[in-house]
Amino acid sequence: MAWYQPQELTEALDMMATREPVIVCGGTDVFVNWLRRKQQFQGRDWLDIHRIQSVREIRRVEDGLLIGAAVNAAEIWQSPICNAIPSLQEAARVVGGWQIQNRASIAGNVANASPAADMMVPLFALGARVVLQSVQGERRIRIEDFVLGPKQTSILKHELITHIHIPETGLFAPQTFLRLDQRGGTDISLVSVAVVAKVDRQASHVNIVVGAASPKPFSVPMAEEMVHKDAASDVMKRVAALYAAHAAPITDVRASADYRRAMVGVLVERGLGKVLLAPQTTTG
Amino acid sequence: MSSEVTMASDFPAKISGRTQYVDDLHLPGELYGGIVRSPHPYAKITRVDIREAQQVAGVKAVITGDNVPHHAYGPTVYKDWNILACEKVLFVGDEVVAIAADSRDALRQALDKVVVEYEALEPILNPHAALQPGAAVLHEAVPDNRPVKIEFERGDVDKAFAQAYIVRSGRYTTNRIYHGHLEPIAVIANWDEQDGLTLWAGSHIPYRARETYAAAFGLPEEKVRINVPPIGGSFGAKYVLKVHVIAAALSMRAGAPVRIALDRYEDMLTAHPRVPLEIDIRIAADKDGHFLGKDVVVYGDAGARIYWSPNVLASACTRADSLYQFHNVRAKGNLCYTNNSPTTCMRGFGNAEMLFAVENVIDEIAEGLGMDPAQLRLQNIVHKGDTTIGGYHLDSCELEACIRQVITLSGWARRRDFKKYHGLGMAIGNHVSGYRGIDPRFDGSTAVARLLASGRVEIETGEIDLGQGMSGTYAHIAARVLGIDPSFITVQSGDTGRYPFGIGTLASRSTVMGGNAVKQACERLRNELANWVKQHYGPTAVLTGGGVEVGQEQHALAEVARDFISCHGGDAFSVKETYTPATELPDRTLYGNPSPSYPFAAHVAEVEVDPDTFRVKVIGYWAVHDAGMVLNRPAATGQVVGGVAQGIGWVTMEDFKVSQGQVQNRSLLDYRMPGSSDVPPVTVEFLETEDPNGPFGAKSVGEMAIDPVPGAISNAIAHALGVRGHDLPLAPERLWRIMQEQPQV
Repeated sequence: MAWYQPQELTEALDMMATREPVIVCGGTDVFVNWLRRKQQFQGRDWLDIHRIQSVREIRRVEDGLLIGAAVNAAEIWQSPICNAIPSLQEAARVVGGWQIQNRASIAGNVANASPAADMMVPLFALGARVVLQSVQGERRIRIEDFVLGPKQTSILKHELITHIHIPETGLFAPQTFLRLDQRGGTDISLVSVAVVAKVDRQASHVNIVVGAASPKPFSVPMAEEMVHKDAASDVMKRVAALYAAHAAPITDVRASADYRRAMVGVLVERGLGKVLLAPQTTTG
Repeated sequence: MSSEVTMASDFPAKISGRTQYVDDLHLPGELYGGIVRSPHPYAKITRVDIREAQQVAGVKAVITGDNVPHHAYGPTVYKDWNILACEKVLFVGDEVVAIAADSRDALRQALDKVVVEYEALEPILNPHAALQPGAAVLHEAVPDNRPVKIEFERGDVDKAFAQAYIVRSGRYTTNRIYHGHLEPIAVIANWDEQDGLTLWAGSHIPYRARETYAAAFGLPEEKVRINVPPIGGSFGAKYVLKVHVIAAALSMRAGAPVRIALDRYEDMLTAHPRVPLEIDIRIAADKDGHFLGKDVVVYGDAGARIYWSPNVLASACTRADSLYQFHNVRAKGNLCYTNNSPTTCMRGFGNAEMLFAVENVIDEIAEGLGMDPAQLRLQNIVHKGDTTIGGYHLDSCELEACIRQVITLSGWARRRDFKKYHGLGMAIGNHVSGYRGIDPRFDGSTAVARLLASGRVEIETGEIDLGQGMSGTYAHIAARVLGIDPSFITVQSGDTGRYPFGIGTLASRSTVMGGNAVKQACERLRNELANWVKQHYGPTAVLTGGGVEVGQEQHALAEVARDFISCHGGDAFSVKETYTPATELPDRTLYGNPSPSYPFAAHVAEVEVDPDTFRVKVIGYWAVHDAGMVLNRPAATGQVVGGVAQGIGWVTMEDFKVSQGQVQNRSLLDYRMPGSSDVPPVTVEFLETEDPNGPFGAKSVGEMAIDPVPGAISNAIAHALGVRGHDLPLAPERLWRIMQEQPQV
């Protein structure tokens, strides 16, 4: 077992190809309950990517925003560049507690594919792409295609997530992230919603994504379509009801499926109201 | 290694991580101990095979029920404990095999290699199932599974209810709450043929632990010594524990010190939570709102063995009768064995649970009569000088003033104008300062006061500081008697081999019981020293705070101390005093005056309830207390704020979710407790008058702090929603369901 901390991406990709290490960045998922879990990692090498400069940056690019895999939650909500995507900042602000936010990386949140992951929900709503690299080269994949289900992704054996790409359309669009949790801080979501919606005569897009209420974040295109046409408050109620109907929540120690489903409706309606009924400002 | 705290406070060491808890201590040659536990709530053990576990390199001892003593023992009069299970397991977590090894890895491997086969039996999961005809008998000595039955009536309850203008009633249930101590349960045990058994363990009743553990092994008590390092939180969790006994059994077998430290998962899986109670209650009043009677039937779930659940049930059945003038009261209490993890005491001790029910019903009576709930309380409470219907002598009682003050502080009159989803609720409470029934043999306290050669004064006590500020309070008392600065006082406790006997820190007894002993000891030290200095320095010598004055001549206290030691063959000036309170042992109906003094409080909570998610936010809290004279203000205030925070968790989120006897949410991620953003600023005020029986007029505060909280918050929620929840916790989903069931307007 070895702990690798390469400074160059190429070095990391070589290791991926040869040693198949466990990728680690903040370690906020993999090291939880370590003493009881360590056996499953027996004999594995570790690849710590957080010294690789190119995956630590947030950059404005021609077709949107590029967030490095190792960028942590605190960096996201503190980054002026990320002010263009406030829904992701809102999610980053409630990931775990402050200590966790200082370590938890965005790619870790995506790769871990927990149904209750916070940052993943706005990434879905923003139409994010996952940028993957291996010694064979680079591929980009829509996040909804990358995440297959709880703890399951379509990452290939020697691939490493290097960046998350946020397309131009979501930048500076009215948006929000709302989370229902059990207490005032350091919590895990019962249900969450991200809404990115711009409805005017020139261009119109509406993305409503719900988290923690199905195996992976989901949207209901038919319902989103209704908002395109008419954003009146009774339409929002109907949209919320559609989302509640399409949710596939589970019953666990935190909440029952019934309550989660009802709360999907509550959060969708609130999210829509917050985004569409608030006076829209045009920036960027 | 015992705890040593001066008035300068234990905070800096704790905050900076320098405090050495049990898990920070190490003995040479120590082994790691671990336990194989039952995965079944109730099962016959059909096979135990430890051969492979014994073969693991580094394993030094493997013990089963077959090679430990089987004396009847237990911490109370119910001797239903074992060391390891033999034929049957009685709850998920029941201990079957224990192993000691020289490394954690060896221990883990060996634990995995133990084979235990079971034949699962139909478990008894609640008190009603326990009482069903034909239910399995969990302990032979108790064929009806009901180790405790309480029944009493004072006055004529049926007649009172027949004459009532209004009766309100309901079934209220309180839940399994985790104590939430930061420091999980841990112990180091060392067996030595010469000295016997020595334990380093967090216990705030170490002398009872000593008695219990000695009985477990058939040892004389003097062969067991318990050291208590600083305790990282308890709230009732760290009394007398099986883990301690098992570590001792392993040490005897292995011939080496054995440490067992539970991680959070095991701590929560095997936790002995707050005794869940089901309370059927009704209260009667006349048309002017004067109470006529109270009638309760209580079922308590003891779990598979008896810890302190009998006393909890007794408090639930009696304490509120000494808060209000009900005139006629009746209680039937049933404590039942079940196949749940044994339940035990937690701050509030049955009283907070019953007050949850009482205070809700009283609000319903107020609603029924169109009265202000505060006014209804004011006209029915007890007062100074009363002997209550339960037999309590109230030598001091500022309850009425507490209610009037909390009305003012909270802006109670605002209540009428609140919109829906905004609520203000009141509850009041009482408690004891020590309880005679806990140990019928003795309920006092003993303290030693000693003038050290350095001029410092050392206080030894048998009571235990568990973080509540006891040592600071004792230092304050000693300093006040001796006229010296508290920083010159050192308070020593937590070693049954060195310090005087003590009942321990329970029933909110440490300030009054231990404090009176400290005060007596220091008074005697001062008086005898004053006499001795006249003999030694001459008749004009006068003892002052800083030393002795003989005319113009000054002798510092250190010099006086050394002079005394020189004249007494090297012995420091030391006195020992015992305080014995003038309390009465409660009779068979639990009537009597069991405590030297009774604290009171009135609380008001303000809440906002989210109209869609039903998340409750406590946005304001006011707590006015009669704790007698306050001796250690930061600690007393901290107790109240902490009690309120703990109560907020209890009412709005905390709950052990148990399915088939198995705790489902055994991590602090899944068992939610409040964080700082869930606790509003708490306004705390003490209305100080002297209680004649307390040291410098002090009464208790520790448990009083939480007693009214469930009532106050639940009444506020009921005010906000117009609907009353009866089952704790009133978590969002439960409130949502209650509201779903309401007829839609």
